[in-house]
Amino acid sequence: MACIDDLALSSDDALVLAVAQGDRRAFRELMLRHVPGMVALAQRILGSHGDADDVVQEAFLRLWKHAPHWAPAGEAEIRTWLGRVVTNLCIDLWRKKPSLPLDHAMHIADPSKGAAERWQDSNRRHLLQRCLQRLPLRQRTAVVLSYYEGLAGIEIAKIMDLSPAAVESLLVRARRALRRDLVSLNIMAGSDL
Amino acid sequence: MTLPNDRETLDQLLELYDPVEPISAERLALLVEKIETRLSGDIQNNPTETWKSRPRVPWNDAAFARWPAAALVFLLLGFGAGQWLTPHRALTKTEVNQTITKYALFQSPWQKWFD
Repeated sequence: MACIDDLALSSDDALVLAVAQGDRRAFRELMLRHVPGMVALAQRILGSHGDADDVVQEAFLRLWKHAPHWAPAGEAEIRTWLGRVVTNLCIDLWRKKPSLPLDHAMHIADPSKGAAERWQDSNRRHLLQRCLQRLPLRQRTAVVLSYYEGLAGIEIAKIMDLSPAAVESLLVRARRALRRDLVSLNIMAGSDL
Repeated sequence: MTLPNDRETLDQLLELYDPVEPISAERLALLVEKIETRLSGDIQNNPTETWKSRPRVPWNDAAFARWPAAALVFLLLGFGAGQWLTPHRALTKTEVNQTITKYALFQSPWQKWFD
């Protein structure tokens, strides 16, 4: 079994090649690098901690199984591959078990004196999450991949198995729906419509 | 809640207020541990991964299961070769009659009555 001496300095591709040889330490390093991003992605799409954790676990198990067939192609590749797997798993899970809307989200923040700024930020976060969850699944996925993962239309189209024009159309409709919701919640001024 | 500036656009809102807070160190450690546990389970249950390291369970071991199949093939080949190599000859009329008589003993009385 090939072992890498300095895991922290190794590239993702080198780590995946070591994982293909059965190196558990390399796999752990890959998890430490990419689990946070993938959890955030899954949570934005699904709106649930538990479901996001399940999806990420499954994605990394797939990475372990896929590692022997991995063809190195660049630094961003592993993240893109994981993003695609997580997105597809989220879509599958959502179709099986749609999550409940986060109607209780407004009450999570603590409106104590001296924490007004934090409370306002927190409230906006939760309201934004609620508005995102109200979007249809494909629109929400496109928004998350575009805004929070910073992917271009072509990359989103590849992940979602759509044409770039269809992705652009999804994004336009999602923005319109989000604006409408945010204006109705007084988070956004009506002139932006 | 104070209203934001009129010029605040949706794009800025989405970028400013990421609805998901960063994952905590405890949650990350727990998740990594869960994945490693599931991985260990998967390797144990998947004979193609590291079947040599698994405890040998005869009824669940691919190597063990190959022996009966090999023995059966060997027996069939042996039987076929024996049939092919054994010299054959036509039965005589006496042998035929003896065989008929022998099996006639096992016929039912009703059969004899109809004959």
